[in-house]
Amino acid sequence: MYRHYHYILPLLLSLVLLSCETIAPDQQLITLEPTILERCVLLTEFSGIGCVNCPTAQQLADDLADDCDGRLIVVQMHPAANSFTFSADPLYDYTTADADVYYSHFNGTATTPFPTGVVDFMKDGNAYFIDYTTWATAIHRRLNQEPTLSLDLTPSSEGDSYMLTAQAVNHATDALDFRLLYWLVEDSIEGRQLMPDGKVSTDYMHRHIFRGALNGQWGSQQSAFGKGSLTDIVDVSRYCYTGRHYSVVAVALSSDMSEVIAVAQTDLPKESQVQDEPFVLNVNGIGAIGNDTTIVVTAHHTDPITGKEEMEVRGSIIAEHIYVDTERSAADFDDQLCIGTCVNGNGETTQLFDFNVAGYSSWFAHYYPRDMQPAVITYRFYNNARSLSLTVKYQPED
Amino acid sequence: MRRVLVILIACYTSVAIMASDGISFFGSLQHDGLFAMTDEAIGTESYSFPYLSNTYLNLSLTSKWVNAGLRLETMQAPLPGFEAGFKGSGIGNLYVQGNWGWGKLTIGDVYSQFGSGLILRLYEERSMGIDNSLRGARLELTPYKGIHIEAIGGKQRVYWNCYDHTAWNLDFTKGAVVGADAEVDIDEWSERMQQAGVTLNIGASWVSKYQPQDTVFYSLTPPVMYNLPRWVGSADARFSIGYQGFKLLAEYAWKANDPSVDNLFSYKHGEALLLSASYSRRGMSLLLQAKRSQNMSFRSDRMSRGIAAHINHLPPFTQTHTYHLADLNAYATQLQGEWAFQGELWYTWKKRTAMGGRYGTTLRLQGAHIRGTTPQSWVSMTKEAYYTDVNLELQKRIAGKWYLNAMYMYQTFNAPVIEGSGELCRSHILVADVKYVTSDKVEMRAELQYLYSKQDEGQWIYALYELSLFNDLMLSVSDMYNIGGTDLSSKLHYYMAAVTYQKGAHRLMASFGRTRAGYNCTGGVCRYVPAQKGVNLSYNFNF
Repeated sequence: MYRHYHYILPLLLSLVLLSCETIAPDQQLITLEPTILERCVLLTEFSGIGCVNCPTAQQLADDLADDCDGRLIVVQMHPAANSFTFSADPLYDYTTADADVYYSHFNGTATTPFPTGVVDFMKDGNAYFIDYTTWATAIHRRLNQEPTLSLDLTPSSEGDSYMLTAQAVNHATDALDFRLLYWLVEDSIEGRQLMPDGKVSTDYMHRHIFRGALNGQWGSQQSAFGKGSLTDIVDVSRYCYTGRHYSVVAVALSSDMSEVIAVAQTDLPKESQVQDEPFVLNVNGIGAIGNDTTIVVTAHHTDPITGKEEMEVRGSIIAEHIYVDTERSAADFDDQLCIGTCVNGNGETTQLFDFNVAGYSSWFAHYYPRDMQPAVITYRFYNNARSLSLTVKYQPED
Repeated sequence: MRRVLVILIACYTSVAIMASDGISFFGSLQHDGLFAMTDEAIGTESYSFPYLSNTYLNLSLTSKWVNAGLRLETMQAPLPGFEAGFKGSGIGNLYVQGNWGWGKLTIGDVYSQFGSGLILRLYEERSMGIDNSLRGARLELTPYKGIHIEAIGGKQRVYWNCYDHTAWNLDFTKGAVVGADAEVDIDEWSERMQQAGVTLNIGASWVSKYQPQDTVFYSLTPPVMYNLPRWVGSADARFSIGYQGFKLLAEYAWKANDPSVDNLFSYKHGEALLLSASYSRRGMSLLLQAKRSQNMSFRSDRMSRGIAAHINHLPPFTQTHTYHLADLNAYATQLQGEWAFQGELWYTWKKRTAMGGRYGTTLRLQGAHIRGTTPQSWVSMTKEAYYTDVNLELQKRIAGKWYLNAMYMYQTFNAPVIEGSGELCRSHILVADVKYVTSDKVEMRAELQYLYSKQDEGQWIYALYELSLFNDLMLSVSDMYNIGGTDLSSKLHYYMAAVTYQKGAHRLMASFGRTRAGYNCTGGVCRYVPAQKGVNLSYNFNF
């Protein structure tokens, strides 16, 4: 062995030098020929307000979407099943039951590291979830695949109604059947988020937040059709003119749920066509109320079930995270039955957060007075941007 | 499965035949299982199987010239908290080793470590689900006294990738790791040094990994992809010197450009420097260590996350605590870079001295402090600490049959950095651990721990009572309670009752209770374990 060391050492040194490949700075990136992007791709991003790297991933998704010039649609889901997602705080709860269904479909667990994402509902290798640093690769692969179906969403409105017409065109030679899903997505939500520096931002802008599946988690099965087109209409009136950045994403999912065949997105009108948009609706069936102080007179009546005298008011609001405080000037109550509008003392503040996909919350109050004296209760509905006072006078029936 | 049975029968037959030729056959069986129950209060997950388990069967035979071994593993429904790829069954380890005077050649699944592991550490850690062995060969030579040379090469095990290819994971075009290490114990050449009690050791290592190009895009418009190096090399140099009770160790490691998901496809090189000084003599020891690492994540698969596919291991420089509340927030080595400092002082006062008392007293002071690196300069650190840990521990036999371990610990834990969520948490922890030995056959131990913090979940309290009988049987009950929770849903008891029986080579443990969700960390590597409730079974048999 000792006689051969003068061969062994140079051989070893050669092996060392050859087994190290240093890439010069000007050779680290390879520019490819641009290809014509034929299809739209869906990136389902999974995120959480407690996830420190998720803002970086959201920015990356936005950059990729800008790069793709409308051919990449991003939807961000917050599944309650993951430890990075906090659902205990209703003010910043972006979780939905629908998101958990999709998360479970992708085999997500409490320990799946975030941020992560799925491209076109497809597996990448053995798993659905793709690390955010490699989203671009999976998206590029899909963008350059010939689409078999194209999907468009066209809005139309008539009076108060706002409809979307989804038109699917089959480009394949074989008949195609698929499931059509409509997702409600909300953009530009200011809220809490743990940032990469470890600090919590309270005015972070959340993008593309998934708010729910409008026609069921797995949509509606569309019949197989050959060359030609298929249309479907969905009514989205209740999500329009809400002051919120809503959009609808239509997803054509293969019937075996293994692949997104086509995807389209359209924004819904945000701003009200009427100045001073109503903030509180339908108080006791009266209709929209403006921003000024309004007095409503309502009478005591006898509850047919309990036989008790009661005063009743009910209504709905069309914005999330509304607070209400109450102030009463007269009357004592034996009992109260209410959501958020109970009167237990002056200046009581309660948050109404019975939010659902429909985008509005209901509130009600039944008061059972000790005597038949008139009562005046002032409700102040408010959030960071607006407030509305509503004064209700209760008085005995004549 | 049939293949496994054939191997088992062949092994048994071979052993029976060779038993008379001075060949030793031994092995071990380890089975850990859980009858999982649902408990919504603590947030348990639901499982498709009622019984979850990890089982390992090791079989080895040794002889004068040849050793061989295999390990059968089955975790078709693994215990909670392991990564998705961990699930599977088969032969996890198989090797044959030939020995001859000054050399050893192992073919099959091999483990090794170069120096402190900064560029290569191949090991098995079952509690973490780690087995990053190489399937290939390992050659160890001692051509002359004091000289140790090693060469190693193969394809790294990443869970069950040995079954991915028909070539039993021997297709090196899909990836490979090769390396060599040389160490010289200079003191073995010098009688004077040996007589003076001087030790001097120098070592150098080289490791390189090969992985074919992956298509990874940097941007989509225009389409730009990364030019990824197929070969990534690393080197390590170290020396240590010791004189009587003193020892100094310095080790430096360097890694070439290694763009991966860990470093967001950065082409910067990585490096690590480790310095250690220690002194020990009867009744006292002192250890001071410092480490700086930057971009030293080294994996055989550049697209891997989690705890799989690591070629190297960066030591955490924090103490592994055995007390529950002290281990509630365990540190995980930050792969992007960190400065770590650790110090430890042990001192024992002899018995029948003022401080030692009748039986002697041992005091241990330990501290660790970790910060991140910043690009301003090589020595600059982040303003926020990642982790700080100062603890003072007292060990004393306080009376004839009474033993006391008491500890105070102050800890800061930067959860957003270490876990990716949460807040900076500062805690004070007190522990009292009392043992009473009534006789040779009966021992009792009680622990009381208290954690105070204004952050995270606030205050915790933990109590344990343990009874050992006849050296074979141990009974224990414990409870951990969050007394500082801000709402009722977090004020939970995490109770546990356990029975352990040990007889000869057999050990059986059964327990029932709740386990809180959290991170299980060993050696700076952590895995998240979801909340669990149910009956745990554990069986170990060594033969």
